[in-house]
Amino acid sequence: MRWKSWWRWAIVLISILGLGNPSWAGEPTEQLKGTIDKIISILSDPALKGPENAEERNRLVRQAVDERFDWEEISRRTLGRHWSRRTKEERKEFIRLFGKLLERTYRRKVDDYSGEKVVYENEVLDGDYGVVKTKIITKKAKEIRVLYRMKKNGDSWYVYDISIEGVSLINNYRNQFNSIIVRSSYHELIKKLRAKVSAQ
Amino acid sequence: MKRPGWLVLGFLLLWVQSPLLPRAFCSEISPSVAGNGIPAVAKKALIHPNPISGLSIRPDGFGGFLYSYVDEHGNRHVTNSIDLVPEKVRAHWNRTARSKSLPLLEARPDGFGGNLYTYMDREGCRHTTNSLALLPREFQREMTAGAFLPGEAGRISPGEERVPLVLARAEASQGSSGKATAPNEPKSIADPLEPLNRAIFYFNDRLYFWIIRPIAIGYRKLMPEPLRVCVRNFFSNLYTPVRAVNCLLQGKIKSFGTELVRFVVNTTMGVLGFGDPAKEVFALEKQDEDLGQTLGCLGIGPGIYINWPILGPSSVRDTVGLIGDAFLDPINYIVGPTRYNAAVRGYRGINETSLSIGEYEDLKDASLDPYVSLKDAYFQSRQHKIKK
Repeated sequence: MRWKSWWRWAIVLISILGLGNPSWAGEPTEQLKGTIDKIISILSDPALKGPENAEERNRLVRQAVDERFDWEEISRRTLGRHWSRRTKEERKEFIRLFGKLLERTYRRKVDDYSGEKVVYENEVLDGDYGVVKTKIITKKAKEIRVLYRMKKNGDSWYVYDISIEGVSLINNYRNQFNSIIVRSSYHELIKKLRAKVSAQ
Repeated sequence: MKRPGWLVLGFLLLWVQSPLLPRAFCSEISPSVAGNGIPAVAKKALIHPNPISGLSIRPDGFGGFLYSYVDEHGNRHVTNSIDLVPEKVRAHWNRTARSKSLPLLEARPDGFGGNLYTYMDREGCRHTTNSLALLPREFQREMTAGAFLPGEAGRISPGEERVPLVLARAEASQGSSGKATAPNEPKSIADPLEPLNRAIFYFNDRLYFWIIRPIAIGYRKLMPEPLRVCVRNFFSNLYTPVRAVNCLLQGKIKSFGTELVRFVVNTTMGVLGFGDPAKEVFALEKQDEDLGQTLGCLGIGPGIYINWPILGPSSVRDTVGLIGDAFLDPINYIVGPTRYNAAVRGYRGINETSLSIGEYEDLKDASLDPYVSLKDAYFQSRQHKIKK
């Protein structure tokens, strides 16, 4: 009996110490959760519902996403070796266009939002890098595993890649872009990007 | 009483092996005078401290390697030919050191804005270079695909996403209890048949938009969604033997049990598998395993990418897997190789499509090169399933 109660106290003590430690609480998860909660609250806000509010809603969502996504890092990793050959202006333009492409892709998904839940499973940390594993649970109880790769900059963690069911977004686009650049040219890629982004 | 005795013996053995051993005693064990004065156990420990003390490999400075090992008589051998190394030593090397160390590439900043790359070659030798061009081809491909950025530390093994250094270690130690991953998987799948595959991609694309999708949409209007889910459950339940056997082949006994219980529960409570109470009531998830994954677990790479007409993305490995799985597929035994077989499969395909209309459209809409996007998504998702 005494042995058991001793253990109970030890567990209580460890959990108190553990909770007090910010790294245990999971900074990347906390910050990611903050952003996702914000987006969900925008999407479930009755004042912003309906197609007539689409513009304002998208603007707010994009704003929330921008706070958590490191667009430069995402673009850098997507272009890979081709990044270093681009001038400052070209990089800026690419970041803008690629961001627009992703925004356009996810706008439709976001418009379809109907109370899906996000469960935060765990995180793995390594210095300035972290991986946050989450699950989206749809209304029909289907589970989609989504993994966020994050990098720390100052006090904040920024997303630089998303994997959905093991398919990394960055890898997928990198292979596409690389194939286009290798077979034609970087300017051809930009032309295609522009066409895609302007076509609604 | 027993314990002190063992302690004394332990100390004795330690002392016998330690460098504190008197020189005079040492001379006793040289092969010429061996056999005089030392107890048999101690002698064995001395001469033969670790029977396979491993093969150490270093560059010979002329582009080859020097292999050194200690044989069972305690003699050191150095040779520049791997063929002269006894099979036993080589086998040991292959099993342990090589499988652990081969596929790693580490990058660290060189302090001048570039990177230093350290990798282990096939012979187990470490190399460090600051030039991408000097890396072996399999790593070169990783690097040019942008795995690391200049001035960034990290490590990769081919086939994995780039991960920072310590993270890689943490994940490796976590995964060590699970199955071994294939040592030499590339990051993207080889596609020498690209022109043909692209032509088939175009064919499949038209087939989907002109024939399959309209039929699936019509079917969707006739059948309410819950019914279509039931049909999917039925076919999925019928496919249990394939999943169960592959769980066994991969040594996943627990998953095998899950599949068995699922089959029994769903066939009875779930009325021939139309319902899925195993998941809804008992929270037993379907174990998505197939022969392609089993082969992948054994370290067999995907080979080349094959885009089959109608069936879609596959690889050499997964095609072999599909053929193997067909031998366990009950549909082939119930219906037999008749045209009804094709009809049943066609119906299953339409039912499946009716539940996922929009997914292919989304992928196409989000990509600049849908062919490459689909190929990569297929490859990444297969790699992910194999690792699970």
